[in-house]
Amino acid sequence: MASPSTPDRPPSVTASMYSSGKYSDMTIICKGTTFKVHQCIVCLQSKPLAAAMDGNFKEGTSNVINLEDDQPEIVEKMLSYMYTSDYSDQQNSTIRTEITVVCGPGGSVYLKETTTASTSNLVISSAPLTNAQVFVIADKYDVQGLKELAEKKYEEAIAGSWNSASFVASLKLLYEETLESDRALKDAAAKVAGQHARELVDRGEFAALCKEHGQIAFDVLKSSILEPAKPAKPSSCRQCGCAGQWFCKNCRCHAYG
Amino acid sequence: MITGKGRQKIRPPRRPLIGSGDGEFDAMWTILRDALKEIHEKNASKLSFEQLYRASYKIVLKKQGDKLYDKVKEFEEQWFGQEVMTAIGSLITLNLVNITLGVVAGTTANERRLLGEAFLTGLRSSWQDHITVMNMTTDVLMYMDRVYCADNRKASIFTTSMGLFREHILRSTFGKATENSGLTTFDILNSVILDQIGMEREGDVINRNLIRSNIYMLEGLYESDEETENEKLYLTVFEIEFLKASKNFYQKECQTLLRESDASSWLRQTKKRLLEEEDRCQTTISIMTAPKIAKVVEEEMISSHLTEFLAMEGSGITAMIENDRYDDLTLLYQLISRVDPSKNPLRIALQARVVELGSDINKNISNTDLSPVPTEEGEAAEAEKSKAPKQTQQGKQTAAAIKWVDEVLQLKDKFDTMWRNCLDEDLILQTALTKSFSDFINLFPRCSEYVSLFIDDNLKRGIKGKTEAEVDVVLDKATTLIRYIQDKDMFERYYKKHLARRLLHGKSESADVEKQMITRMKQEIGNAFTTKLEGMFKDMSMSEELTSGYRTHIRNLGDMDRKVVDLSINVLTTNHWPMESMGGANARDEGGRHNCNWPLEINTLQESFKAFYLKERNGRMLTWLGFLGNADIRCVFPKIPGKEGALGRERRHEISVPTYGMIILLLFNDLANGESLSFEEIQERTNIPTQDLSRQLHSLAVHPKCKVLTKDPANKDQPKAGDKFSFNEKFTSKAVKIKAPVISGSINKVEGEDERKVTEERNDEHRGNVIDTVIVRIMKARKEFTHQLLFSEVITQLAQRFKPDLSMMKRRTESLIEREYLERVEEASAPTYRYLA
Repeated sequence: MASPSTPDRPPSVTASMYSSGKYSDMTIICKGTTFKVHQCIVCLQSKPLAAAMDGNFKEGTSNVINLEDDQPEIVEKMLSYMYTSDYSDQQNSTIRTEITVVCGPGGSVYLKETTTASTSNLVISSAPLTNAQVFVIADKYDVQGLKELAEKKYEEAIAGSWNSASFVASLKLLYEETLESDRALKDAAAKVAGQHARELVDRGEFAALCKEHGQIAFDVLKSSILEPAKPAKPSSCRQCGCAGQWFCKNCRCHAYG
Repeated sequence: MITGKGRQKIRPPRRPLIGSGDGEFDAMWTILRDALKEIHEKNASKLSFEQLYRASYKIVLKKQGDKLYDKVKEFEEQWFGQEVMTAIGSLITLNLVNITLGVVAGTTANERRLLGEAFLTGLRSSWQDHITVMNMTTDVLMYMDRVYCADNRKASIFTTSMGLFREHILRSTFGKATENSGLTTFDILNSVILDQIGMEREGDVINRNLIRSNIYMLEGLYESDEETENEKLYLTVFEIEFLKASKNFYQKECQTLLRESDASSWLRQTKKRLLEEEDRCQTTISIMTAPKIAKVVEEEMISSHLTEFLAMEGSGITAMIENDRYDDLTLLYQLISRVDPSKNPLRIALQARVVELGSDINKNISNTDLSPVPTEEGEAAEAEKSKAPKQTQQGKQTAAAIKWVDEVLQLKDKFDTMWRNCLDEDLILQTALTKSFSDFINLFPRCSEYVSLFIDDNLKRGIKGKTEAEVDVVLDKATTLIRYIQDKDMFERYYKKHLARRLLHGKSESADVEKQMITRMKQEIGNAFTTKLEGMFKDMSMSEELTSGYRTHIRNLGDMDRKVVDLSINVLTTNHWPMESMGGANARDEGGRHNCNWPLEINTLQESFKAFYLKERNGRMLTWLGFLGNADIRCVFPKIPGKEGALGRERRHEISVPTYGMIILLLFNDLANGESLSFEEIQERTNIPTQDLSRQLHSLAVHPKCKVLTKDPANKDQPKAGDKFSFNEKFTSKAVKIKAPVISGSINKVEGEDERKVTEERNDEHRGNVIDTVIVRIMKARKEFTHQLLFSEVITQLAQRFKPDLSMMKRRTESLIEREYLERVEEASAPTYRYLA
């Protein structure tokens, strides 16, 4: 379990509750993975989970909830947040996944996840996609703090690794699995994509994604206009050094370059 | 579909969501609809929350939230129509409708109660079911509420379902009976609850919990789906009805009480009703109504007929005060405080009562006071006859003064007790009471004199043998009374006079208490008031030092040849002592201080003291006041030859006489046996004022107790010009020490009418001077001042001392203009004065 606690400090009480699973009064099952958790931690931070436990439903009596439709590693990150107020978006040792976006037949884009094999050149960060997935689950189970944290981490992650399959995959996820009105992450992603549009169009999966999703293409276009890629060297007047139009108003020369 | 190489194929590929078919929605909705049905039928425990939540989450994510919302609403409406309304409809019977319409034919209260309870129970259970179901539904649809409803500004599904309940259950009609009359369930509900409350007011026991549950329902429902706080159905519909019904009820109740009961039971019933309603708000209906229903009760039960109840014969406010009905008064105060923070009706009644009782005291005293008009002592004609009764008359009047003060204090005590016990020490009422006391006390013309006499009496005798605490109580009372007196200058005048006598004649019981009294007055009235009084005390202690100093001085002279006259002296500072009222009644009239002729022995003594006194205090003038003080004289009466018994022996007596008496008696020292002096001769040689002389001679030659002189003619008339006096050799007395009876002067008592007139005149004169001073002082500061402002300023400045008379102020201003202190400013629009430096 990825605990953010520093080595010189003992892990917090809640962190040890999670890692040990002791005194657990609630079980979350997700695709075969079982999490032993505590209602007082989990239900207080998520209203839907609380409703499931408190209500007069099946979950209320058995204290077991089966999250059939979620990813175990993402659920784990959500729980990690609930117990430690943080989660790690780096690859961890237990579930090693590699995600690639592959152009399938018919031009569709798929996400492909594999365990990292020996193919060394493919070791790229999956952080953008992980954070986007955490964001989606936080929205689904109404964990407000996690949403904010995921947003922050996502922005940090894409700034560095925009040129990755994971980023493209996260773009796709955001446009498909969050509400249209929820713009925070999409804007950040589109902004980065816009800045690097020139490089990204060379990526096959990005091009395919844009072809498929007009909305993504439009947003990236819009942001590339608003956030033009910075030229490597700004043009300046050779004589007086001022930046400006092709015609230098200061020295009335055309000596730009 | 691409499969991974490894065992983990985590994410199944997704189809593009946009345009995903209705088929998917229908599948999801089917799941949800079936689940909702189960929930409504209370079979939810088999359902998986996760599955339902996921279904609704998916629908909303696919932007089909609106569709879901409408479907759920439709489902609820159907449910109401099919299930709930039939259940409610069966509860509304014809009887219930008739009761609501007020057509109560042949139903007893008990029947009505049972019928109502059944209805309320039914409504309660359908409400509670509805709440449970909707809570679960809301849980399942949580994502829709949070995302879809919030984004689209739609009321949450819970709110919507509440609205549905309101519209379909409360605001609809059921069955034939109600359809004809146009009554809704809500009307019936209101009428049933009000009917039940009515029964409780009559003393029945009702099921409060049941009503409370239904009230909760009304509190949870709103006029619209906006759910604004003040639009609760409870507030907009039920409360209005409730208040209206209560108003009617209490109107009737109050009228019944007015007709059939007395004020006392009215107070109790009102109090009881207020408590009941408070209780009802807490247990049966909503606490929100508490202030409103209290107001209704206050208006109907207290305000509307307050004056009628207060005026009730035998139980109204008069009787309450009269008979010390503290409980009633306490209740009355509490109730009136609720409706009127200024407590006007109570205040007016209390004030009227105080003035009434106070005036009674005034009247009683005045009656005993005025019956036989006391004759002035100077009137010689019937002096002899009226002598004895007059003394007692004087005594009676003094007693009357004390009695007046006592009664006033009793009244004050009574109202104070009442104020403490019943009126919650209310400040407004205290001020009002104080004002009323002040009013009636100042209505009594002799209040200043009487209060001073009361203090005098207490300081002379009253505090003898009392503990410090008890003395404190007396002083407190005195202070209270002083506070009420408006004409403080009059009081000061009397107090000075009485104090002077106490001090000079050694009548004061305790110098300590005297000083305490002064201190209290200082706090109460101010420094200016007490400086002179303190001066008097200073003079007294100074005199004591002087006397002993003088004695030492004489002893050190060693002049033993002289006949030693033991001198004890009081040196009084002129300004501090009220000379006129200390006995030198005529001194003033005759212009300046009167000097009598002192006998030689005394003269020597005076000179010797004067020398001693002036040695340290150069430039002072000493005036000897013959009308004050007294002397002990040793007298030898020779044995009379041929007489047996007492007369046969030589008799020595020590006679204590006033100073004037001493001067007279010393004249007879030089007289041969058998010689006599005429009145005129005595007056010529002594220069004692006629009135004082006559009075003195009366005590020495007429009064049997100390008849050391004989008078010719030997009758009991007041000595007058033409009478002859000689030494009474035959005087006998059993006592060795004899005190010559004092005709007047040393006892503080009520003034006669004439004396009083004189005092008042003097006081007025003094006031005139004070007003002059104040006007000049103000004008000096202001230079120019309007008439109006000047007068109000004068009144404020003098308020501590007395209430200046307007015409007197005008006269004084005129006089100041005449004396050229002020002038009128001619050109000013309002009358204005200017100060002339």
